[in-house]
Amino acid sequence: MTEDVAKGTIVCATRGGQGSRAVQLAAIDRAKETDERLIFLYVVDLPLIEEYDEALTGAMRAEFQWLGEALLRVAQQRAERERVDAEIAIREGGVKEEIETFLRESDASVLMLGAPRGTTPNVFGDDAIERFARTIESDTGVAVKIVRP
Amino acid sequence: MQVEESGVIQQELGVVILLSIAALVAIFVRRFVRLPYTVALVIVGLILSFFPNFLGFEISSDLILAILVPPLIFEASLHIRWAELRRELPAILLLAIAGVLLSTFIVGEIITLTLDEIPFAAAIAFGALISATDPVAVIAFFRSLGVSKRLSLLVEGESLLNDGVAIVVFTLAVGVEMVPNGNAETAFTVVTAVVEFLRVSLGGLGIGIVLGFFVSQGILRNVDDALIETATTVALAFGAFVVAEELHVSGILAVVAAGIFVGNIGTQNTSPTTQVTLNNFWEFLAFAANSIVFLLIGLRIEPAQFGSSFILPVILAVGVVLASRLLVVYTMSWLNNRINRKNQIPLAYRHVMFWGGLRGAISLALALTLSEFFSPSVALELQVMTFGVVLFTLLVQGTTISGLLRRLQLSRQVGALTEQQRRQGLLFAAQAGKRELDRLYDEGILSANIWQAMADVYDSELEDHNQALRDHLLQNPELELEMILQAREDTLRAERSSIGEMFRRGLISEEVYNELVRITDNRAAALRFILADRRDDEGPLLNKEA
Repeated sequence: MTEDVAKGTIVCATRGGQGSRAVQLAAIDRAKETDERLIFLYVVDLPLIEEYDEALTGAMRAEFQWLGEALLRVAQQRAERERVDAEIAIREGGVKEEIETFLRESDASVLMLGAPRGTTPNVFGDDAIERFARTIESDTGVAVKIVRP
Repeated sequence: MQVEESGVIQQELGVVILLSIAALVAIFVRRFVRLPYTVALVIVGLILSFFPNFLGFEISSDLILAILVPPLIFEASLHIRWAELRRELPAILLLAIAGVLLSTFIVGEIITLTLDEIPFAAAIAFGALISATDPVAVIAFFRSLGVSKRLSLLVEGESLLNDGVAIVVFTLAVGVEMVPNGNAETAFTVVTAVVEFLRVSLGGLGIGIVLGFFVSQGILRNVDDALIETATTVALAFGAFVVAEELHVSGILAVVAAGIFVGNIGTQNTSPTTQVTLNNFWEFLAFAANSIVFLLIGLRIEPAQFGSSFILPVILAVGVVLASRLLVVYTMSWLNNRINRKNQIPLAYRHVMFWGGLRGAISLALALTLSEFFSPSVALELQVMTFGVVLFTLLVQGTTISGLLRRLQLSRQVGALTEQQRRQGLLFAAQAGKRELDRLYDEGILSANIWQAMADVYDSELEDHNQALRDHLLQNPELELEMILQAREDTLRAERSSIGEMFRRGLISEEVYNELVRITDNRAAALRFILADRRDDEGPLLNKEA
C-alpha cells in the first residue's frame, strides 16, 4: 500500500487528436517501466459546449461523454495489449481547472499531454501547449510531459 | 389527331435526345476529363448553339418553371439540416434576401443606364435572375478538397434561399411589364414592390410549411417504403408548387419549405436503404432537369449573336455581376459579423463565397422564359448576357476556385482519409463475399471441398486487407478518431431507424416514440455540430489538449 502511494500515478489526458496515440503509447511504456498506476483522462469542455445552441447543450454533453468514453476505451485496450492495467476517468468543466483538480485528487506524479504534429490556427501550437504545461506545473507542482507524434 | 400525335412524338424525341446527350456528357466527364459536370454541360450547350432548332419544338416558360425548376430546388432542400441551417441563418438570410435585392438593383440600374434598348423592368428581371447562385460545380470541388462543412453550408444555404428570392423578384419584375398600359417605372414603386414581395414570399413559404408538415407527419413518418416515399415526395414537390402558384404566391419558396420539412422530419423514420433510393431518385431528377436547362439555352442562342452583336453587353454583364457579388458578399458578411458575433464569417470564407458565386440552371431557366414577357430582341439580348455570365462563372471562376481554396489553405489533406475508405471498402466487400460463400455452403449449393478452397482464398484476402488497414491507421493515427466519429454517425442513424420500426410495429406508444426520437435527434444534431466544428478547423474535437 505504501509502495503504491510512493509510486504515484501517471495521468494521461487524451482527446483523440493527432498526438493521442503517441502520448498514450508513451504513457503505457512509462507505466510498464515504473509500474505506476495509469489513468487515461478525458475532460468534457463545458465552456466550449456553452457556445452552442442552448437547446442542444444537454445532448452535446451526452454526446461528448459518449465519444470521450469510446476514446478512453480504445486507449485502455491499447494498454491491455501491453499487459498494463489502465483506468479511465471522465470529468466535466473547464479543461485546465478539471485537469488540475484531477491531478490533486489522484496524487499524480506526472501529467502526460499529446501535441499535434503541426500548428493550426485553432489548435494549440507549440508555444500554447508549452505555456499550458508550465501553468499546470506551477499550479499543482506536478511534472508535465509533452509527447509529439 | 395525327398532327397532335406527331407533335407529342416530336417532343418525346426531343427529351430523349437531350437526356442522351446529358448521359454522354456525364460519361465523358467521369472517364476522360476532370471537370465539374456543369462546366462540361455548358461547353456542350455552346456546341449545340451551332445547331439551332434541331429539336423542332419550343418549351414554354410555364413548363420550364413548373417542370424543370421544382426538382432542382426540392433536391437541394432535402439535404439541408435545419439544426445546422439555423446556426448560420442570420448570415444566410442576409445574403439571400438583402443580398439578392441589393444585387438585383445594382445590376438592374447599371444595365438600364448603359444599355438604352433594355427597359427598366427587363433590366430588373435580369438583375434578379442573375443573382441566383448555383453552387453545384463549387460544391463538387469542396468535397474533393475536403473543405469545411460550415463553408459548404453557407454556400449551399445561400444558394437555396436566394434561388427562391430571385424567382420572386423576377416574377414581380416581369409582372410589372405585363401591367396593361402601365408605365413600368411608375408601377414599380418601392412600397408596392415590398408589400408584394412579402406577400408572395411569406405566402409561398407558408404553403410549403403546411403541406410539408401534413405530408411528413401524416404519411412519410409512418412508412418505410421506397416506392411510397418516392411517389409522395414527387406529389409534394410538384403539388406544393402548383397549389402556391394557383394562390398567386411563390411556388418555388413553397418547394423550398416543403423540401426542408421532408428532409428533416418526413424521412426521420426512413431506413438507410430507403433513404438511398429516395436520394438517388431525386438526384436523377435534378440531374435531368439541370442537363435539359443547360442544353436548351445552348439551343436558344445562335453563335453569331453571341460572338458579335452582343459581345459588349456580355462583357458589361460579367463585370457588373462580379462587382455586385463583391459588394454583396463583403457587405453582408461585415453586417453578419457585427450582429452575430458567435458565428463570424472569416475573411478567407468571404473570398471563396465571392469567387464561388457561380451561376447556373436557375438563371438559365428564368432567362428562357424572358421571351414571353419582353420583345424578342430584348429577350434575346438578355438571354445571351445570361449565358455569357454563366459561361464565364463556370469556365473561369469554376476552374480556378480550387486554386483559391488551396491558396487560402481551406482545403484539408484528404488523401489519407480516401485511402482509409478504400482499404475499408475492400475489407467490407471481401467480408460480404465470404458471407455469401458461407450461405451457399450452408444451403447445400456448394460442396464442402469447393467451399473450403474458396473460403481459404477469402480468409487470406481478408487477412491482407485487415493488415493493410491496420498499417494505414498506424501511419495516420488521426484517422482513428475519424473512424469513431463515422461509426457513431452510423450507429445513431440505426438507433433512430429502430425507434421508428418499434413504433410502426406497435411496440411503443406515440408518447414514448416522440420522447425517444427527440433524444436521438438531439444527439445526432450534437454529433453533426461536433463533426462540423472538427472539419472546420481540425480543432478541438473534444477539448484543446491532446
